[in-house]
Amino acid sequence: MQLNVEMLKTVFRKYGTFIGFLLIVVFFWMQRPDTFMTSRNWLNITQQISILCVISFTMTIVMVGGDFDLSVGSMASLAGIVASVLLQNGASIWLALLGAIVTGMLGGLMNGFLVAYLKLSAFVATLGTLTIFGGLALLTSDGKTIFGRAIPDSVGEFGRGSITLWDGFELPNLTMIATVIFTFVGVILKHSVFGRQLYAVGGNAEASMLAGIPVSRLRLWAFIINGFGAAVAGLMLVSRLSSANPTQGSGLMLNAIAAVFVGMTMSDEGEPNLFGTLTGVLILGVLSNGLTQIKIDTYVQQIITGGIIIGAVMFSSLTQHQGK
Amino acid sequence: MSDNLTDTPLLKLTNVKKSYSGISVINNISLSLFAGEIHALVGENGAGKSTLIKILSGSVKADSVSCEVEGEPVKLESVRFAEKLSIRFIHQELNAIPHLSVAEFIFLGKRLPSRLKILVNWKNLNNNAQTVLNKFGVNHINPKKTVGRLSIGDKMLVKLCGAFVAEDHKKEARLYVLDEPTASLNSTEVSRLFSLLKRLANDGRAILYVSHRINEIFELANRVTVLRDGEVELKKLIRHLSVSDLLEAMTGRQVVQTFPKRQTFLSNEIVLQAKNLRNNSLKNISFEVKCGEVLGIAGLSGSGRSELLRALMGCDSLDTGHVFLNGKNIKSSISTMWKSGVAYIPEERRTQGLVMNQTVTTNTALPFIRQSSLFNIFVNFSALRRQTKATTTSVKLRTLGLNQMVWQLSGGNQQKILFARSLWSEPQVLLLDEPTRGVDVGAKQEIYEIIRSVSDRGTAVLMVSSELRELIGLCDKILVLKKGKLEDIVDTLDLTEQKLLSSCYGQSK
Repeated sequence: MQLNVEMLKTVFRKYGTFIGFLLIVVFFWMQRPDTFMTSRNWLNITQQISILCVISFTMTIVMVGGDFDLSVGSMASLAGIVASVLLQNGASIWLALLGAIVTGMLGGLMNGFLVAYLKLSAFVATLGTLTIFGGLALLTSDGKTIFGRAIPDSVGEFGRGSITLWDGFELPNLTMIATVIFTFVGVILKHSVFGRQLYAVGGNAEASMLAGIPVSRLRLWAFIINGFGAAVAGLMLVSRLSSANPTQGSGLMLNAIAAVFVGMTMSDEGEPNLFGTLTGVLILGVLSNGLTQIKIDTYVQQIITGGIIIGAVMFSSLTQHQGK
Repeated sequence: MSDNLTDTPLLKLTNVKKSYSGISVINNISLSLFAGEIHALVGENGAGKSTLIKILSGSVKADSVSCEVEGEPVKLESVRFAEKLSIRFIHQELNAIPHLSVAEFIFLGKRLPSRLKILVNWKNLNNNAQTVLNKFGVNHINPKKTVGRLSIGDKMLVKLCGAFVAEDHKKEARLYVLDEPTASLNSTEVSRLFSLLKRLANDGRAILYVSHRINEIFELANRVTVLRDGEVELKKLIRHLSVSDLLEAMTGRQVVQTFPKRQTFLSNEIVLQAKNLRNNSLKNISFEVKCGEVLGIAGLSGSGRSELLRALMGCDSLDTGHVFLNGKNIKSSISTMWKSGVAYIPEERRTQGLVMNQTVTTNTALPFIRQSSLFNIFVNFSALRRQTKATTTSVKLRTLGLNQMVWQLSGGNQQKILFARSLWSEPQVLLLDEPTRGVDVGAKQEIYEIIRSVSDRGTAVLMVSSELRELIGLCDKILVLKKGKLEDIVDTLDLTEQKLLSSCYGQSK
């Protein structure tokens, strides 16, 4: 008997969050039997969450190393603005892409340098750069939204477009990008020397250092990759909206961190992990999609989403292993 | 003191049983504690000591237990129990709060002296703390100092002082439970603690003392209970026992705690040479180590013992001085040291050695993940597992598997993981900082054997230890440090603990 209770506890601890996700899906399915559980709606959801996915995936890397990054949202805005301003001034699309990505990685370099080498707390350092990047975005764009003819049609078409994988199944371009980044981050975290060492650093930085792991360099690179992710997300935003606004990425940061936290409840030792993060993003995405379909006010949506994040983390800490 | 066991015990536990997922951890243990006695509880790791203590503290619920306080049956965990008997627990883990001042830490959780009931009266608080410190003979610690700046030993002393302060002067504890309190104390600090404990026992308190250190038990305790595999193996007055009786009861076999003898002749080849090492904690230290030599490093805490190892490993930088490995001057960074065959086991296993939430494999392979990778990018999991398997077997690690999390392992097995890591590729030099701290007798002996066999194969070992006995038993020579200076290099032939200790205090010759 006791054995069963223990086993049940283990199952809940490990899969509780995923079960919660399934319950949410079932709930909306029952509410909207005709529209919710359709392949069309799900492809729609994947497209809606693709941008948050990219930023949450790379955020997972930073958080594996025991840090976090508050500046991703404004870094995404800045990267989008840089690309758009380049386009506005007649640069080619490739140059605009390159400019945005270099911007993101430089931003990440700055974060990483402050945190890993100057030993500032990640909170303070990235709070500072959040403000700096936000200011730079406003400065570069002159505080205006860039849209219309400044952005070539092909940019917007890409964001709305999709490729036909087989008859009747079209994969949205943005979803595809998210999938590529997912694979990239997955390989890094699971199979690369960098990723495995980063997990050790996140678990115990001092022990890792004494074992000869270049702790500071790893943390720096985690931030640089996250800057790259922010830039990609910023570009996806520009492409989807066909416009660039100096604050359009600001909502991403909190959601990304929330997704990683929800995902952390899905591992034995409470460490960030990619599949967990994906579940976290899916929960956020499905909630927003489903609540809109059952016509719940967006303000109320926000309250419900926040409650569910807290609920998930609380539930997992309640079922935490005793002996630890 | 109560040799007379017909007295009513202060606390009597009988029929204690506990099993986890069907595996019995404690099977029908009974334990009686009398007022005025110091009762030692010993056993190897996994014998059930810590579970028993957790049951007593209420953090683990027993499957069955009956409990009497002064002859009256009460339920453990009931309010009545807490009213009748107040117990104070002192654990081996430090859990010091680095930001607090010593005074705050001592009075943590108790009402602080205040002005107008709102503001802390710092002057009174510091005075009260000073009084407590004085009472326990810990005069060298300033109550205003931040806890984080104290040495490990001092932190432990401050914590102990705090534990002996009665809450609000109302309720004095009648039973103290100490779980390996001396793990990080040096001999002076230990003797301070012992005189304190003896005083408490004379005042009529009962003390339950858990320790791995056999000689401490003989010095301190009146009675001993030995647990083995979850059962009471032996219960006796300490003066009716000999050391070997006790060891045999603990391990179930005859343990002759001897130090394994060198099997090979010492070569004359010098492998590591330190010249004029100087930094904040070290003052111009030079020495050399030969292949296969075991060189001890002795000294009081704060003498620069650990710092010497850290400087050799490249963890702390040097102001001046050079380290030569095989005659080559090396600019030491930690990772190049590991690569060139210098392995290091740091002082604090949990915070400096292991990544507790990772697996046996990750922890063993930690310095070598890149070295054994494919193209320096992809982890070669199978190679890591293969080598982990080989090296953990060679140190006789006991686990449920290579994917087990290290926090689930006993202290001795955790320490063996660090040894497995060090022996990953036959090291030229092995730096050990307190290699047997917090490890049970059985594992200790195994660690001695590992050290000996490594040195027999030609590895030079530098070993810091507070246990003078093991330094004398294992080492060929001992460096004695005092306040960062190399006081003496002593030969261990005919060396006694007395002599070594007095030379640590700088009174030799």
